[in-house]
Amino acid sequence: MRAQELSEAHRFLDGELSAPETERFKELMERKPDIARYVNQIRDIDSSINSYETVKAPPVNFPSPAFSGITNLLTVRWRIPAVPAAAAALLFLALTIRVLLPTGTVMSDYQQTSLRLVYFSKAASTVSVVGSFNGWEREIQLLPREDSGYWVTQITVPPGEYSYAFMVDGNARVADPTANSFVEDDYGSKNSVVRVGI
Amino acid sequence: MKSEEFQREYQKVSDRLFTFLLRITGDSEEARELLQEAVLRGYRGRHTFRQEADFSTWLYRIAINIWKNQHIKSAREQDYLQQVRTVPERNTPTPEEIFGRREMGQELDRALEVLEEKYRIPLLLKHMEGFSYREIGKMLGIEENAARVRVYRARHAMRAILEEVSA
Repeated sequence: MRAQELSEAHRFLDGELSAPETERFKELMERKPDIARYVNQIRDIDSSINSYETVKAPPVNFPSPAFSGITNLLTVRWRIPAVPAAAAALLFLALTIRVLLPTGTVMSDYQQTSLRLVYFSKAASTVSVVGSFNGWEREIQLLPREDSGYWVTQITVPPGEYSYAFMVDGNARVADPTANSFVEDDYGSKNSVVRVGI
Repeated sequence: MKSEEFQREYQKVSDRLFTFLLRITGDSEEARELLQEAVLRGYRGRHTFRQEADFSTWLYRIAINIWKNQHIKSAREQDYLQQVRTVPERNTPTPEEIFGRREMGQELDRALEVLEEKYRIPLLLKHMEGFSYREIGKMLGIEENAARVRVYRARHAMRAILEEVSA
């Protein structure tokens, strides 16, 4: 079979040939039994795959918002990079010692930094923000500044680099246009990046 | 996308997605783990889902990306005709056992199992799931016409493998 005939055979099977092309191809199959045989074999394969039975999916564990961090640790524990995991363990240890130490022992405080996020839209009814600062789990509402069109929130986070995006009217996802840098996530969406306290 | 909305949309595609994953992994335990991870990753990234997009296309793409990253240099892609004759032993049920099919099924399943990854996935997406070439292209991050060519080549290779098996 020639390459052109092969291509036409597949387009014929997909119903992508025009009516005159279909007629011409049917005539070709009558003249060339090897092409007709090829088409029938491929059609059998397609229909056999198409007739595969659907299997009931096993239940999936969705993380509850309150325990999502724990669930994620359990589920993807082998994917946690060693350095952040060690840092988290050290932090936990430091906080534990801080609690257990007698009053008066000098320890450096665990630093928290304020992050103020502002979005401008006069048309929006609601604006919220989602980001890596809370594992993308919860939307934080921004409050309107009277009728100015400015929406503002202030959150407290540990020093670090965070990616985030605004949710406008519940579903339109918008990167912060005033951010200094942006990053594309695994799903092809653009997020803004902010560095706080570092 | 809200949590409840994600779960509602997931329920609509869960069985189809799991069946598809069974087919591409060829192993029920692996398919189960892949499903769990894909759904979890989708759930955590649900805020990135654009409402105008198709949920199933989006979730399939996540699952396929996880699978591709895990099996980018899979042994399946090497000397597949040799593997037709020496099928590896398994500890978990095979798709044949799960689906209970015995007619043309077994040979077809075996041929699918050894078909190159880059052809098997578009072929299943096209004929098992009924996605268009445009949707397949989106899921695989390739042009629509490249998706079409992969399906053509997949069918062609399947025919050759089946002929080899029955020879």
